[in-house]
Amino acid sequence: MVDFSVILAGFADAFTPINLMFVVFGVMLGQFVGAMPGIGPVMAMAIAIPFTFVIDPLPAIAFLVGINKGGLVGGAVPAILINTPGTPDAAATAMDGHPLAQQGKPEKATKMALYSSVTGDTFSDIVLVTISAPLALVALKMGPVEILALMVFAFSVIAGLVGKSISKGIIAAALGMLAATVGLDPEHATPRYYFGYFELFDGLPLAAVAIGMLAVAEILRRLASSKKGFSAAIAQQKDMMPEDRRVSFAEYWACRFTMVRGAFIGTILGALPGVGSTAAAFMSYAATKKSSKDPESFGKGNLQGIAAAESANSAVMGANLIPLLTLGIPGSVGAALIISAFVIHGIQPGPLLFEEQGRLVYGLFGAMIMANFANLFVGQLGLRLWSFVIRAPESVIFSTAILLCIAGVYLATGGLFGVIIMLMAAALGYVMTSFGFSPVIFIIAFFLGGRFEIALSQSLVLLDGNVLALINYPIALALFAIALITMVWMIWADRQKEL
Amino acid sequence: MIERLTGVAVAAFGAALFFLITPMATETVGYGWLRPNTVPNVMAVIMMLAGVILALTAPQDQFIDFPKMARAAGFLLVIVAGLWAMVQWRYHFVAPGLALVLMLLVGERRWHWLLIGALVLPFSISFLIEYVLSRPLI
Repeated sequence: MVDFSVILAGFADAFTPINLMFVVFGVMLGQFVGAMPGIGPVMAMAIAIPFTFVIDPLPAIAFLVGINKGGLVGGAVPAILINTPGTPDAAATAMDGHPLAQQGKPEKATKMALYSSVTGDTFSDIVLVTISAPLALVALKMGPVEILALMVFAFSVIAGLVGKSISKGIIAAALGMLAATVGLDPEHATPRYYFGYFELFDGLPLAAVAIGMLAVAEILRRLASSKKGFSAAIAQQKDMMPEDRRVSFAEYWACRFTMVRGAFIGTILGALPGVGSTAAAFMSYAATKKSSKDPESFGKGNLQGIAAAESANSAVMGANLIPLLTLGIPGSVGAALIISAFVIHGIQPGPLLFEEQGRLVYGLFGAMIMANFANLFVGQLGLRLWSFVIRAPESVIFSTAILLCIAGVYLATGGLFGVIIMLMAAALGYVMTSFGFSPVIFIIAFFLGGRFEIALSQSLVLLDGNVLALINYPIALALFAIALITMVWMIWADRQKEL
Repeated sequence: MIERLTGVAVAAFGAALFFLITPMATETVGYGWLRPNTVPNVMAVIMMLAGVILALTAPQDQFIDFPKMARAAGFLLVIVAGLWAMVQWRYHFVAPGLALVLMLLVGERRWHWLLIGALVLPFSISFLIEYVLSRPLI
């Protein structure tokens, strides 16, 4: 178990002024970019990662967490004001947020989104802080065979849940795994797919692939679909009555059960790799509407609808870090980006993280809780401001983002080769998205691919190549069985959807 | 139809990987449980199978916006040309030009936004990286 002094030291690290500054800056940036349709926190995180290379690990990761958390709050602003979610997570928020804004109460709607988002996020952070260390202890008792089985299970869940079609999910995962085999193989150290480029002996750089597939591909998509004469994405708010500008305590308290349910759903789904916050928001919204005495009022500006969606989508964020910190498995694309920040700083996420970097982990927990408070305060001041400030046209935003991506990847990979890989990954990401293949599955499979191969190699040595020897590993056997059942269920559900 | 063709293309890519690319791009090793080509071959077979299943089952047809894809390819070419120019003449001289070309291509004509996008922001990025972070750029 982690020593209590390490926990205290970690929390003390989190509350230093420099760390606080990075958290607040991250939250501000996150809210700002989250409020800009098409940019979003994932792209901002992807662009920011290489720049965190020059700062210490804790402020760097706290900064990225701040962007992610701030982005969830910011994403609600355009969803509510102009019915255009800044992030996909906020789509469910628009269902009641936008009608409320149309009734002349946009500030009430954005504030309800802020309060419920912070409530849901804090709930999942508490769950993360409480259960991740014991879970890591369990994970430490797992050998290569169990880890292999766990990875197979993670792949089965991810491939089925992220994409619309199970076949496309499997193809995207296979492509990601294939990309992970570039470089020296783990058992014999012979080069694979290097085509004469010795830079590829180390494999494809994660930062270049992630930024290319997520940020640059999306920028290309937006540039290609842009039309002449851009205008600002956000409409200016009109003057309102004082009671329509705030959420009273009575109104907040009336939504308490909705927020708890949303936070619970978000935390459960967030802990499962690949489910995502959009699904959590819609599930929570549907559950709240179903249990309401007045379901007809939903979709017409009901505060409960906003609370349900926002508490659930924000609760996913903290819970996403449970599989990341305890098992080294990223549960979402945001978590995958946080992993690349860990890797850039020479830290390997996984069960040993609590033993080797316990102070950093608890520092991160402290920073996450601090980011929730920062979200609340920055949001109080900022939500109204973002809707005025973010009037820069997309032409300026995306051309600048391209320059940042080039500079960032050049810094992170230490050369031009990484930038070329980024552009190739962008082309692949664009084509994959256009044909309905998920780049998110690709990235997660790409990250897990190397570890999977090592675990497979070690397992084969342990089992002496005899699959029947798996009988000596009951946990692994159970995980393989669950993976198989999950796959069969996914295929069955996929077929049902098609019929 | 596009879904079926996509499935066929994926299956063909898997076959090309299995029969042509992987044997050429990996070394043959005669010992150990996991050979260098084991995982690539398994992935190739998975792609072949999943591609065939996609081609045969062909769910809801996917709309592909080819003109938009061509436009995106054009933007990518501009960025590649910009990168080539950066290697020749350095980042901080080429970045404003690249930003200006991108903004003009998407139809931005307002001089104040062009000024901000092509001068203020690229120089801010160069300043941040080379002077504040003290890191070398292209």
